[in-house]
Amino acid sequence: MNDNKKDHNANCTCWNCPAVQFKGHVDFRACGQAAFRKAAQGQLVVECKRRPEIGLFDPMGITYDACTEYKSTDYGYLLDKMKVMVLGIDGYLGWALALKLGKLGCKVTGVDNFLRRKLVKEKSADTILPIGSREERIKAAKEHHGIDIDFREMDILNRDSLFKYFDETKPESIVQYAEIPSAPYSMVNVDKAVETIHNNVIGTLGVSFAMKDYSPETSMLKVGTMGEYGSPLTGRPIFEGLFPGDATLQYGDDEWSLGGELTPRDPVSFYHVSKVQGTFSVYETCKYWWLRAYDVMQGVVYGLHTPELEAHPSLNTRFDIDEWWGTVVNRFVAQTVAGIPMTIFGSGNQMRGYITIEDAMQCMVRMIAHPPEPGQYDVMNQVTDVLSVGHIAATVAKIGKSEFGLDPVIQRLENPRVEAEEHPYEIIHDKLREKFGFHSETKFEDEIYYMLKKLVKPEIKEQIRKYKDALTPRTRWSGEVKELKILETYKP
Amino acid sequence: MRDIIEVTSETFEEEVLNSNKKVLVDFWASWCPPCKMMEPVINRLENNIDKDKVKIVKINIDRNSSVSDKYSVKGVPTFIVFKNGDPFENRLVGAQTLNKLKKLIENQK
Repeated sequence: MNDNKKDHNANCTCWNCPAVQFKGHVDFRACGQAAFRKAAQGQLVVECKRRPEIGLFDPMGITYDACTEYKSTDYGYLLDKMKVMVLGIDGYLGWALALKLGKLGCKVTGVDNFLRRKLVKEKSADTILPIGSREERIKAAKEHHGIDIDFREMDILNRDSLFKYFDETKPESIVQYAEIPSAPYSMVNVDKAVETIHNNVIGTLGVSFAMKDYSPETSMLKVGTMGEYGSPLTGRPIFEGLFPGDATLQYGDDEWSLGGELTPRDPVSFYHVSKVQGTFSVYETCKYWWLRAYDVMQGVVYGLHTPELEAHPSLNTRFDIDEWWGTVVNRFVAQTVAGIPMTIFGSGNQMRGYITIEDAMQCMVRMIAHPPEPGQYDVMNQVTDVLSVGHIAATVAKIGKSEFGLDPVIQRLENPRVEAEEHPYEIIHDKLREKFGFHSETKFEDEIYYMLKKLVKPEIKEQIRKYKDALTPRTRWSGEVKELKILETYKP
Repeated sequence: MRDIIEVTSETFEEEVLNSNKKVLVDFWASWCPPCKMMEPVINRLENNIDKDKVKIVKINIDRNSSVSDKYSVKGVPTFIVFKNGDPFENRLVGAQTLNKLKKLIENQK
């Protein structure tokens, strides 16, 4: 039996591979109805950009496990020195991914405009794990991992620079992390809502056009979010972006298959709206231009360790904890470390999908290794655990108390968001495991323990308390500026 | 569960046109989400047919454009039933329920 973890993409062929040149051999038409120039043999032929000396050949003929350009790794077969472009390389996920890819032998290039650093500071907060500057990070990656990361300062909204960068780099995979990821930030006022939507949607659109002109055989890993789907009160399962073949619509006396159609979206903030819009941009470009994309519906990411980040403190990824930029698990851990109450909104029964940063990185690498087919748009629900906010707080409290002698407090606040607090929630998340050989390497409670262990230090406690004001939730979806009422305070 | 036979422009004549069975041909493309989603439905259909009289094959339209052009396949998935080397007049385009595919095969004699 195949070891799916390493062999999930062994049978992919040149048809999937970004190193193949379709242009000049394929006549692209609208809706992907392509016509092919017939070679002497009367069939589709392509060229290999890495091995031009091979000439023209049948793209179905060579599999990844037989191709000399591919090396076997723990995450599947990867192109030797695969050119991966990480947009938003300076971020929480971007930096962690860059290191992991570099360690796997990829040629990593990336850009960032450092907007995140600026916006967190504007909130009078900062990452509580110190991070290096761009130059310091490049140096640390070289010193501790022996990898050379081409990390530049750039705003992807500057399309002249972006296109020149694509032309120069000719990436073989693109990870689009260059988006503003905060729901509450997008709800503060019109300027921030516009900024979020503009940055995210227009940024992605520009990247799609760059791909069309400079690297049309490359795939984009677009980061969507589970929040695109909302939480349907009917309790219907949340499929992976597209309806399965046997999902049917019945109306009157007739029935129709919904197979392959996009599942309904029900976003929960203007940030989530920007993700839904981004989904459509990417979906369209696959149709119009035969581009390839994975829409990664990411659950809430938490945690602060991967083997690559651990190698030395100079390699830390950022760790935000304030009410705009700190995601809930990370924020609860920080609040408990600092002796501040964990702030639950409303009942705390809201459920979401979660995944550790280590598992998220594994998923991303696997998807990079196993690209979509030409013109294919596919969706993965990137989640390992479905948890309620209340359960997260209770777990952080339990471990904080029993393992670290902390004195956790939980506080339920008036819910500033417009969201269902009681709702069914069944997430289908099979593809990463079945198609990409993903196998979770982490456990929720272990990760909480690990975070507390790393952060229970007097200097970190002091720093968190310094940002206490930024940590206090205030941002209401209504736009009203008013303190949130405390509903209940208790020690679990 | 056996995979549905993939035919090509080279094997189409032998597998489809010269077959003594009714052949349902599933024209598909890699960029087509409904085509991908139909795979389990087609597999289930295969267990629901009289295998002595009917067979199901699939053909990728981008890699075998001579065949898809010959039968004027424009949208995918397209389902056409063949018998004695000729396609039946009625065909289905787009994702289909199991029942509709069964009817397509049964109603055309």
